Amino acid sequence: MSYRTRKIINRIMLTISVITFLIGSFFLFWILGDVFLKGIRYINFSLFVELPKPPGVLGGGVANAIVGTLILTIVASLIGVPIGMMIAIAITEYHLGKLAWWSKFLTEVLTSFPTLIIGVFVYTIIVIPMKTFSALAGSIALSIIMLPVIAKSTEESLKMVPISVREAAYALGVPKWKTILRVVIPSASSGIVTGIMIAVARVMGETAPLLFTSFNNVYWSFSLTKPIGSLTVTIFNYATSPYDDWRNKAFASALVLAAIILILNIIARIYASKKGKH
Amino acid sequence: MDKIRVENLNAWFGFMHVLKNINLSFKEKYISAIIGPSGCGKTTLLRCFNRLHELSPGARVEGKIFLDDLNIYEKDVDPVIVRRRIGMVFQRPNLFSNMTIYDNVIAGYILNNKRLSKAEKDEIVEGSLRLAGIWEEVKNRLREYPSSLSGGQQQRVCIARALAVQPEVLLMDEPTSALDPISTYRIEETIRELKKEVTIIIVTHNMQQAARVSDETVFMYLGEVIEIGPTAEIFTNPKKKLTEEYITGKFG
Repeated sequence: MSYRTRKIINRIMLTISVITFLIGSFFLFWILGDVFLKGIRYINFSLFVELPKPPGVLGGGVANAIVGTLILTIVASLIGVPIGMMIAIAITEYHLGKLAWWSKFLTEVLTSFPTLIIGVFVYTIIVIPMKTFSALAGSIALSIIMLPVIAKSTEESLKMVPISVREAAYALGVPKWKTILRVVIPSASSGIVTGIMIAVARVMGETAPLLFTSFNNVYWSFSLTKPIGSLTVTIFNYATSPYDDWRNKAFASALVLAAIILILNIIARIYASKKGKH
Repeated sequence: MDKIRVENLNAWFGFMHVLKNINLSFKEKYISAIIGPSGCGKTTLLRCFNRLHELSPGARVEGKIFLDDLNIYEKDVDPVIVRRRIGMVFQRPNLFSNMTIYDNVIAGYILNNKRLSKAEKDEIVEGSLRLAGIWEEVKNRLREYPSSLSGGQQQRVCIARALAVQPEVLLMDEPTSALDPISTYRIEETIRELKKEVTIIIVTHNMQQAARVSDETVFMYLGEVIEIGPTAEIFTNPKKKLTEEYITGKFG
C-alpha cells in the first residue's frame, strides 16, 4: 500500500470518527441544553428549601425530594459499595475457581438486568412483608443496581495493580489480607473511587425501581421505614401532571439532578487524576 | 555454620517439574550466587526460600528447607513469619508508589501495624538507607514519592526497605538486571558491605557479577544443581564439564 493511499484511508477514518463523535455529543448537549434552558428559569431559593405545595397553589419546592435522593443514594452506597468491592476482591485476589467464575457471571448478568424488575423483586421481598413502602426498600433496590457496576470496576482496578507490588508486601512478611487492604486497594483507589462515583451517578437517575419501593412522599421524611420522596419520582410525577407550575418544576428538578450528577463526575475525575500522579 | 539447608527439594509449575531434588546449603554471612541459563530454576529456588513460589497459581513445593533448625515447610510454620526473617529484593524495583520514600523504607513496620516512635522511625530509615548506600542521595527527598528517583536509586531503596525489618537472610533476584552499569556497580558495592550484616543469596544472569561479589557459587542447569563450591574455584577450576562449558560461554 502506497503512502498516498494510507494517508487517504487515514483521512477517511478520521472523518468518520469525528462525525460519530459529533453525533454522540450533539444529543448529549441537546438534552443538557434543553434541560438547562427550560429549568434555569424556575430555579429559585424556595425550590431547595420548601416542601411541595398542593396542585393549584403556586410556589413551594422539592427540598424533601433532594434530601430523599441523597438519603437513598447514601444508604444504597453503604450497602452496595462494600458488597460490590468484596465480590471483586473474592474474584481477583482469592482464586476461588468455580465460585469466582459464577459470581463474576452473575454480576455480569445483573448489569444488564432491567431495573424495573429489580424494583418488583424488592417489592415482593421487602415492601410486602413490611406492609409499607420505605426508604430502606428503595435503598436496597438501588444497592442491587450498584452492585455489578462496583464489582466490575473494582475488579478491573485491582487487576491493574501489578503482581510485583503484592510480592513486595508479601516479602516483607505482610499477611495477604493486610496486603490487599493496605497495599492493593490503595494502589487501585483512583479506579475504585471513579467506579463508585459512576455507580452512584447511575442510581441517582433511577426512577422505575423506586416507584415500587420508596414510592413518594411530599413531606419531610428522614426515616428508613417510611416512604420517601426522590428527585426522579418527583420529576416523573410533575412532568406528567396537568399543571404548568409542576411541569416547570419538573424541569428545574431535572436540572438540579443533572447538576448533582455532573458535580459527582467532576469530583471523580479530579480525584482520579490527582491519585494517578505518583 | 549453615544458615540455610535444602533437603530433597522439588518444585512444580502445574505439570512442569522445575526443581529436581535439590540438596545444598548456604553458609551464614556468606554471599552465595546462583547462576545458570534462563529457565534453569534459579529464581524458583530463590522463591522457595521465602515461600513465595507457592503463591503462584498451580505452583507446588515438596521437601525441606531449614532456616537454622526450623524447617520452613513444616505444616505449622506460618509463611508470613518466615518472610519476616528472610527478606527479598526483586528483579525490578517495586516500591509502593502511593507511599513516600520514607514510608517505603519502614513499610515492613507500617503495614504490620507496628507502633514506632518518631525517633525510632527516623533511626531505622537513616540506618537502612545508609546500609543500602543511598542515604546521601535521598536524605533531603524523604517526603517525595519514589517515582522521582531513578531506577538504580529505587532499587537501592528497595534494598533499604528489605533491610529495615532486620532479616537474617537477604534474597536477591537479579537485582541489577534492569539497571545501568554505574547503578550496578553501586549495588554490588552495597552487597559486599552488607555481608557483615546478613546472609545473602543472589541469583544472577551475569557471571562476572557472581565472580565479583560472591564467596560461593551454585551452578544450576535444567532444574538441577550441577556444582557448588567457592566462587574462585568454580570460575577457575570447575569440576564438572557442564559448568566449564557454561562459564566459558559455550552455551547460555
